[in-house]
Amino acid sequence: MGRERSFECEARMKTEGKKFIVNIKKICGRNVVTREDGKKIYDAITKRWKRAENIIIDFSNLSIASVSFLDEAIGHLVFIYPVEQIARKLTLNRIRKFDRALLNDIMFSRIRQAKKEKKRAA
Amino acid sequence: MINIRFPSRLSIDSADEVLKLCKGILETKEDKLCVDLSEVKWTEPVGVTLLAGTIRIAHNKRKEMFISGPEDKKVKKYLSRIGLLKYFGVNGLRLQPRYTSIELRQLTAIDPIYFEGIVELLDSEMRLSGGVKDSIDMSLKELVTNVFDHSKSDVGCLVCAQFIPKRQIIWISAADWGIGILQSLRTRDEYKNLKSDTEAITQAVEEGISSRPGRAGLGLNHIKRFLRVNKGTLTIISGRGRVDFLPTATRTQTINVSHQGTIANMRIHANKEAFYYMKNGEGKIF
Repeated sequence: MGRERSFECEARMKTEGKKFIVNIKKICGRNVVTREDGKKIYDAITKRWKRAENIIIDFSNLSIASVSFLDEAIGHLVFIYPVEQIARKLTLNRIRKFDRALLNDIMFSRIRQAKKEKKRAA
Repeated sequence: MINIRFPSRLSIDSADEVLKLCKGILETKEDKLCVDLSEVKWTEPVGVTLLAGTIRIAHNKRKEMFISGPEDKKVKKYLSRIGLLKYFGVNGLRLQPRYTSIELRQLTAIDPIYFEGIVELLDSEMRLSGGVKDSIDMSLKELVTNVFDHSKSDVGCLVCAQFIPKRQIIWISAADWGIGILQSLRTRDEYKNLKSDTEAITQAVEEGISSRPGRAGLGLNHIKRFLRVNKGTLTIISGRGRVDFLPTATRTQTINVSHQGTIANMRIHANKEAFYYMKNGEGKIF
């Protein structure tokens, strides 16, 4: 019985594809303020983007409250990946309510900017 | 030795006059100077950061500085408590800690623990309404980050704050003595045509405007939006420009004296709304 369950588990993992966890606390410690700090998270995400079906960003309930950090870490993904793909691929774990709202706001700012840049380029 | 007498109010309203005196301190060829605060009857954090930065730069220029302290006992206590007299090297009064002011700090790098400390203190002493705590945290971080990203200030960033629990008001001031917003923005081709300091300040708080290469420029816009919803005020002085972002309007003016660098002053209501984000009903991505 137990063996059957483990096979089932394995199969589900295969069909679900690869999951990666990006732990902000482990990568940045308490330095979650500047764009340079945010860039570390951005690099960790983009490095795994192609291989991963799901990237879990673990905020560990840290109080971020930094536009610069969140913009550089996640907002800038809008300029290279489609928004639907970002929403589907990223899971935000243990993120505070304020930071989630702030991040959503930043995402829309960057979507507006990306549209403008596309228009200009066309 | 020359005596520089400061006016009775060291506040954002008298910034023009205070700046003129600070500039006088930095430009005089005199080696010995006395900062005369004897007539000061009222001061706000912006007055403290301005004085402290000016004194620091004067020291760097090897000027010998003296201080004639305020005669008003309340002001003297306040300046001791907020750390200005200690900063001058003057022994202030011995005081029991009274947490209505946040001591003057010269930041030479981003210090997350300092921001946390300020926000926790404000939260414990005032009844901060939902979102105000996080929005203050965000505003502080963005103001100071801007200084280190753009200003090239030799003295880093001077920060202090004050709050009045009875009136539920918080003042936070951050000042630098760097290149100023106009010069900073002009380093990029797209902003080379900016004509005045007020134009540069007004532009700098717009979404996506930054002198930083790449895509930046959201921080000041968030602060402005927070303070609009909160019915507070954001005042920015840079060069000869002064812009007050009031709850329902923006007031721009050219001041008589140029400040070499940037001063930001925030007036925040502890008990008013702070949920400024997602006001335009754009929905959610996460």
